Amino acid sequence: MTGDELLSDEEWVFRRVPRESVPIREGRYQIHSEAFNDRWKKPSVDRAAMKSAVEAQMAPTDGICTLHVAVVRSITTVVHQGTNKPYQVDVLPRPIKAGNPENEPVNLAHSQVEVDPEFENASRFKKLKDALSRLAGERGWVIEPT
Amino acid sequence: MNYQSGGTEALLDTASRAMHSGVEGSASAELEDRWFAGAASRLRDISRNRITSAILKMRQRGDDWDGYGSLAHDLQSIFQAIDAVESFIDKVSANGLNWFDPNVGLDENGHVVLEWWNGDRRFTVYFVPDLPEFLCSWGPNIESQMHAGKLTSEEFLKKWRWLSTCDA
Repeated sequence: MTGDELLSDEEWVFRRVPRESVPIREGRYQIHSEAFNDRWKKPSVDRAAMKSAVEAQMAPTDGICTLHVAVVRSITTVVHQGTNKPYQVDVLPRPIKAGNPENEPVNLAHSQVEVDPEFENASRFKKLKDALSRLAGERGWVIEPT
Repeated sequence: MNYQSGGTEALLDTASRAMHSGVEGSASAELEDRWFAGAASRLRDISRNRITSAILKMRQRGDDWDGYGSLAHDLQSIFQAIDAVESFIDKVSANGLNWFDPNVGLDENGHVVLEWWNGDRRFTVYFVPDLPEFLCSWGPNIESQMHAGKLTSEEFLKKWRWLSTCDA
């Protein structure tokens, strides 16, 4: 795989969560909405078909949770007020290749949860983060933060 | 009710039952008035200090603290959140409701976020400029199971009642 291929509904993606974003309640690490923070409102994930959970960690203390692509794509029920069409939530391949302008490390498994059209207000993104954290929480951790 | 952390009022209920088992009638009421008012106040102080300390800890987060490009903490938002916690605890107490602590975090813009969970119900407050914003959710469907808006003083109590009456 080159990383450019569209993700199938059956694929799984990993989300890296820094340890400091993970509160402990009743002895368990919880996945809160902060786990899906993204300044550009496009949370990054890695394709499980192209990378192991351990490889998805940046630090050994990071937690790794997982999302099913079909379930993320099912978050499509919000209607855009301008066009009266539903927002389409998708997981799109965004491989980071050698020689990229930002000089980021190569990551062909890199993908993003994106919304079309882009959310016009911040509260929509807050809702998306809440939904993603709930869906990830249902599956639990692939690697618990330490 | 099944709160994610032990509520101070629940602790007081337990203590009250223990006290009533040995003291009866008007003596019990007097003892309760004198002892519990002070105890409840101290427990509120402990809670307030714990949350304030967690909010102040957010000052350690600089730019890109999470590796996803999030901005550093916003100092104005930190002060706003500390003031609000004081007011939230007082409101909850004055209305005879149970208080329990939120998770404290930051959003990608460096604004303080307080997030309470009770079973499927979540109540999240974002300390953005001007009025804080809230998000109430009870499932992952962002159209039919979530509600968001500006958080006024009256709105806080309504949302708290909604959160704390969940039979989780």
